[in-house]
Amino acid sequence: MNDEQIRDSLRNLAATAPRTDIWPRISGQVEQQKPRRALWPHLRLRPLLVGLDALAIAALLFITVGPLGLVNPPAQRLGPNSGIAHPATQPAGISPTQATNDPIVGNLRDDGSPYHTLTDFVQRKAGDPDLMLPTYLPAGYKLSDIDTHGMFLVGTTASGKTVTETIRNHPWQANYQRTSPNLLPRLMDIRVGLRGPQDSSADFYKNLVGDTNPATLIARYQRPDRSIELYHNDAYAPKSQIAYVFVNDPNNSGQIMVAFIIEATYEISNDDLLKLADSIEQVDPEHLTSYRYGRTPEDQQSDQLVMVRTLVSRSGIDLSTVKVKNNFTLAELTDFMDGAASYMLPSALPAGYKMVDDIGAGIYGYDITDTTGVRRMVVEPSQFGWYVEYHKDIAGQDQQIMRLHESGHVRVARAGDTLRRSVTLPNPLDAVGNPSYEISGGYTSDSDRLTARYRRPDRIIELYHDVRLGPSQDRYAFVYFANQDAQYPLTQVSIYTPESMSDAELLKMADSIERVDPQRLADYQNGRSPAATPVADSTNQSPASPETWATLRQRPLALPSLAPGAGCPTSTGKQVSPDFGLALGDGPVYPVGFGASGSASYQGSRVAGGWYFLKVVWAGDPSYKGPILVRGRQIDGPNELRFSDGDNPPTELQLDTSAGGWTSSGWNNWVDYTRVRTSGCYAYQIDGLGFSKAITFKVTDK
Amino acid sequence: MNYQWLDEDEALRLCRNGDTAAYAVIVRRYQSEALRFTYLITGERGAAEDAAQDAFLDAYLHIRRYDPNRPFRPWLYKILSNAALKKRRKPQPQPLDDNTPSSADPHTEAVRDEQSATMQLALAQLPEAQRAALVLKYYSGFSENEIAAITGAHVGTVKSRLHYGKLALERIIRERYPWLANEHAASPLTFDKETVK
Repeated sequence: MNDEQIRDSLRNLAATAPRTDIWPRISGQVEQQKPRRALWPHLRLRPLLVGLDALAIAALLFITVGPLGLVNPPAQRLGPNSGIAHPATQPAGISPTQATNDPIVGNLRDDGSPYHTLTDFVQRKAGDPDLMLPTYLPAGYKLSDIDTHGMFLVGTTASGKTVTETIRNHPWQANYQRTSPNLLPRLMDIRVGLRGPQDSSADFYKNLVGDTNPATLIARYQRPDRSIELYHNDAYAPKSQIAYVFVNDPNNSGQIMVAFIIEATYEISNDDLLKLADSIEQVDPEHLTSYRYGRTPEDQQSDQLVMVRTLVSRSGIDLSTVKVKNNFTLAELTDFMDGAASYMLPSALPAGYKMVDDIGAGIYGYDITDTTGVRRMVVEPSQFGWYVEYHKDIAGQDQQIMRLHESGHVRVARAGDTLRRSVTLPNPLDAVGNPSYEISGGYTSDSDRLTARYRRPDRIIELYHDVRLGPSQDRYAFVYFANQDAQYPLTQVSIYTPESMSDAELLKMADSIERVDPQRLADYQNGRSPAATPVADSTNQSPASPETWATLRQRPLALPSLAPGAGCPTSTGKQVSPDFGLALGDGPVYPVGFGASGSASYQGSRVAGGWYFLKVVWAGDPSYKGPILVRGRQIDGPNELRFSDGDNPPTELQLDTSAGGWTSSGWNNWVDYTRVRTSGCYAYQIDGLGFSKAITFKVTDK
Repeated sequence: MNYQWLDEDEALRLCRNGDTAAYAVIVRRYQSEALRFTYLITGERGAAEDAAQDAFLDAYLHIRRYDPNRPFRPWLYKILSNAALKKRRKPQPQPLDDNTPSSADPHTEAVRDEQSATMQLALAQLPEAQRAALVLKYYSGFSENEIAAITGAHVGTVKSRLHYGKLALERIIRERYPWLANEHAASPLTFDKETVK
């Protein structure tokens, strides 16, 4: 049996799989849930941290390990290798019959209600919640909810009683979130499980979390009723810490050990983490709400900015004397940055629009002053951008019409990108639309929605809209400017216009954006005369009309047919531009990605709907302007050739030089997928204004 | 925002912020292949639906654990694989459903049905790990390295599973379902006798 035979057989078998639309089945549960706040492994440093000076970060992350200020009597601190024995051994798992002599006679099953709030949980447990929660929480944190998978088994006992029991190793999880409205959420999870008698800490973690604990054991603490293990995880950003708490379960006469995993960032000090671990106790169901916020005085100040407070306290400033501000209008931001602020704003606004910028424009930094107004500390703003909104009076009501958002200084080519290239372009604008570079920030350039690109010496303007909904809906524009900054070579300004503003107006506004002298901000509140700046004299091309596409489509597909087994007369790859790899054909539009031999393999590629993905760059000679229609089929067999994405991919590819990208030498380029179901000899037919070309290539599975 | 044209990266970014409409885009983009995959693993249509459903829920809840710098598909398959293996019942090959997609040619359809039945019966006999490895490679198109990441096994183990999985598949078909193997000597399920011991 060779690989192809297995593949074919599996495909045939898979064709009999159900074709259920899953989304309606899960949408209800998804709508009620939020993604769990996994602190690691992959949560990246949020922009907030980017702006903090190194000293502050160092101070913030400075860790002192010690059981300071515990609510309960101080724990005995032991070394990381002290090998504390488990306080108790216990039978494996909680048996549904353990609490009763009325045995379950059958039909024990998952009750199919996998997600529960705290209140639900208590109700389901009929007053026996078996719930343990911390009474102490770091300042600002609140319990957001509780959720779990397959928490309950339901069964019928010999006497006909319906019983419900918790499934072992499918415990609950509590998510805590600092809910200050002025900060990005900081998160902490508490997971609860039952530790088996033979489980090591590592086994327990893996069973509960489904992954290996990447953290390093720092210390163990022993108290009469619990042991606490503290781990630091420096493997991922942000660095985090984990505490295990092993407690004898009072509901099981010490026979069951309840184990907690508390995951937290270093924003929470070791002291706070230990306090929290130390405060976990059996919950009285009548007083559930008191566990939502903890009960220390600090917790009542839940809207305080915990991170800034930490920074301030580490700086020796009396917390009670300071005011912290982190939202700024543009004018305030200018002051905050000592005149170093820089804005790009439009000077031409359509009639009736006014700028509103007192909206707490994101996170920029912290201005900490004491109660007498003396500035005590400035935490540097992040390079995260700002935004303002434009409002308009519509039928007597002030409504938000559009938003202008500067995405800060857009990096070209993110670290780790496979497309990464050193940013040494003489003009960074050449990276826009160039498939060799990826621009992060805002929306990623998406050729599906890009309808036109305009180029001026100092900027590139891209217009996007959903072509299926028509030109008046969901439109936005990107305006790129070049910087003399090696690290941030592009600035991207986004204009979102969810209103029926014409493309011409949008373009005029994008064209009027200029760097603003902070002293003249007031001039930009209402926009200056539209006549002050000319409309772009760009290399404007109108997109091809539907009639033009229809004309091209009417050309018959005139591709040769080969006898099965005949050799595939592939086109030979050649260099047509230094901007691209080897290309096939003689233009003016060339597929790139088939090498010198004119072949490509789908081995290891994605597959959707049985269609494999072959990534193909289309290179367009600068001399050709207009639409290009690409179609194709297998010429040594009956199979189709399709394009782009999806389970049912389109049968044709439309390329238009009014909407493609450019390379520095002026070549157009588009990136798309060619889709095939199987290997064979294929051919494209490329139709444009005044030409029709066929290009033959081979697709293999090796 | 219109979600219809949302690209995957952007949809996933929105999902991480709890945007359920964006997650609907992800589900609908992957549900077909997910169902086929879980069906190949579980061998039952109902179990396949349950597994895919569980996996998509699980993926949503843990979407913040997904590293946006890595491909999403292998990450999803890790969850799908776990869910499908959990749902897998005892080998109970089901008769093909009436709504099996029909082909234009009745003969082709008949051959395909029998091939499918043969493969279904044979796959059901394989150890879980071998079955998962074979499906991930030969149906889902993952590389051996990706399969290792998805299944949590070493690459060498994956290679071994694939090798012995193929041999086992051939042996099972030959030994347990000789009538199917013999009747369709020219079908894709025939095997190279030189490689079968």
